[in-house]
Amino acid sequence: MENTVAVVADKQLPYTTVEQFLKHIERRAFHMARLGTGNADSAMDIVQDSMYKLVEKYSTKQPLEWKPLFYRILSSRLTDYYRRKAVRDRLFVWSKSTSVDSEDSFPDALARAPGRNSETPDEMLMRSQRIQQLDRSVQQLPNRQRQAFMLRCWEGLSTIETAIAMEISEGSVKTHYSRAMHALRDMLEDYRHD
Amino acid sequence: MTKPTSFEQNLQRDLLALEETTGAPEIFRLAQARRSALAQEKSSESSFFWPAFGISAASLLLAGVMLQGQLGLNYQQEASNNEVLLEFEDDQLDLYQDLDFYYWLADIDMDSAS
Repeated sequence: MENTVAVVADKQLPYTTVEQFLKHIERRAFHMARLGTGNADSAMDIVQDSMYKLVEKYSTKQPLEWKPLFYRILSSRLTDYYRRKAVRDRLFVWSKSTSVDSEDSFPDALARAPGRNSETPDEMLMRSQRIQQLDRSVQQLPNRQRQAFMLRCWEGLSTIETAIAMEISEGSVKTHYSRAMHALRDMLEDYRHD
Repeated sequence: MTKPTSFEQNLQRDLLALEETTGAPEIFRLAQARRSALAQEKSSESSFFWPAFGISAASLLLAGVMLQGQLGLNYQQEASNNEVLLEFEDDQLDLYQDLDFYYWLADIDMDSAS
């Protein structure tokens, strides 16, 4: 691995132990995997597998290195998932419509989510709709673009950290990210903000 | 790093809001996953302890046996050396006794010659 410590050394970390790190990252990782797979159960398996791998192999590394390493593992697990899914879809074409990877009912979670105290019911509804729209749009992005977008925009990783996590060049990260933003701008044309 | 545009900032804000929509069952399963991942780390630590302890104990035992053998060998060697010395001393005694005899014989021969 490249000198990850040097890359992220200037960041203040909100965690010092692996447990704190996993706690800090687990929800975001779950949603990233869910957007990548379109299925909450598969996403949960992928996140759990990534946690196991990180603890098993890299818990002795410096806390600065955990985030890029974790996302590298997650990215690799997602790639494995896409490969397996592609093979399965090719083998079982007739059962594609009943596949377990059809869109899950996760948006119901939006309804369960507590709203902000300052929001009126109308604002809460608008926010909920906006998040659902964003959720759908992100799922429509090609895999690499989605990964680059989520790591850069959501996780706030730098270009070089994203490159380490995705195991591609910085130039490729910039390309994928730029295309993802372009696509999202088109898809979220009616995207309204407060 | 370039400054994020307002579009990016809005996306980021909504993505962070999306995180907050995680339902209780998912949060529970994530906590379970985290705990089992961390438990695996602890069990791997303890599973490493016993083989390491066994190897160390066996090494110490082997070293002890070898040292004991070496001491026994030294003792035997020392004992055999002492025996050689004793034998040597006996031989020397005989030699001296023989020498006395030859001196006496020589003196008698010299006396008779003179």
